[in-house]
Amino acid sequence: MDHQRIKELISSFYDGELDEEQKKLVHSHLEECSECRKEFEEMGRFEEVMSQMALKKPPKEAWQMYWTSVYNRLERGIGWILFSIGAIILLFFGGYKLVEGIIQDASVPIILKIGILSVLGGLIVLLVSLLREQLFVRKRERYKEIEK
Amino acid sequence: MMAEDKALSEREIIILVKKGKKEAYQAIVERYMKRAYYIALGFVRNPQDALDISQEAFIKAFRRIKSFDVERPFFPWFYKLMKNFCLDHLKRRSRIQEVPLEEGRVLKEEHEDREMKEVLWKGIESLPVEQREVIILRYFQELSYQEISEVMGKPVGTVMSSLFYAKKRLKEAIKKYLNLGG
Repeated sequence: MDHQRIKELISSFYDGELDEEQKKLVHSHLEECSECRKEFEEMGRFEEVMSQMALKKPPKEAWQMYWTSVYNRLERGIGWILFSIGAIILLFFGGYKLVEGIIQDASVPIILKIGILSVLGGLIVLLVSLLREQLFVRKRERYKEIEK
Repeated sequence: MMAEDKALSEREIIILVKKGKKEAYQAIVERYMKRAYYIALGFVRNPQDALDISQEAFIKAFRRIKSFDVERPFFPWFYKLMKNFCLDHLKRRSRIQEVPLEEGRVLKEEHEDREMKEVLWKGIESLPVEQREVIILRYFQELSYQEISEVMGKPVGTVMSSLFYAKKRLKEAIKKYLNLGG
């Protein structure tokens, strides 16, 4: 058996993933191969170091509050969607009424009408552009390079 | 509610969640929150960021639950979502600034010296994504090859060889600290 295969088995040995037959195979190879014996020792030391790498635990309250936090954020998300829909409807309705009023009001000078209408028109174009950009970004497949 | 949840299988809970029952989702979140947090922590190193990212991932999973196939296990599907959050976070962080060492520290300094662990951690961060994942799942979640394979959706053989190459690179990175005598 080649050294590369034995080295892979050594790695799996320390992961506790070898069956009895594979263990025997590794041990009998180690008896006659100094290169793989060295790998065995190095891997053992490496595993020792890795076993001392512990991740910090968060404070206990973090677990107690975890679901509440997820739930609140979920609810807030729905709240924001409803608020945004309402705000858009009100804005469009208000804008429509404003434009209607300005056009029908004979006392408002033409130049002022043009100014106000162009500000409103610009706002609508910017809003539509922003919305389109957001939709485009959402549609794009992100991280496709890392998905299987 | 909780007593009721215990009697329900994951599949049954997900069906309730798909019907919009937010409360049923609590059982899923509480079942996987620790695993999610520690995996995120393995990626991003900062405990507060790991909490935020894992919670954001649960929120996104809830919003996308309609596209989830109830015949499949929840965690591998969720894991993919969360991994993308983690990688996105790392990309943004690397664009903004390198996180100062002390601020991002997540290791307990117990036996080995800090320098070696820091080198080791940098080594983990510089591994290709797939190798970094297997290291996090193997050492910080203590999952078996079979479990890692299910979470990542990769064959056991791929998990085994990814781990081997990841360990090889990490071992090389800390060789001078290992006291191996040549």
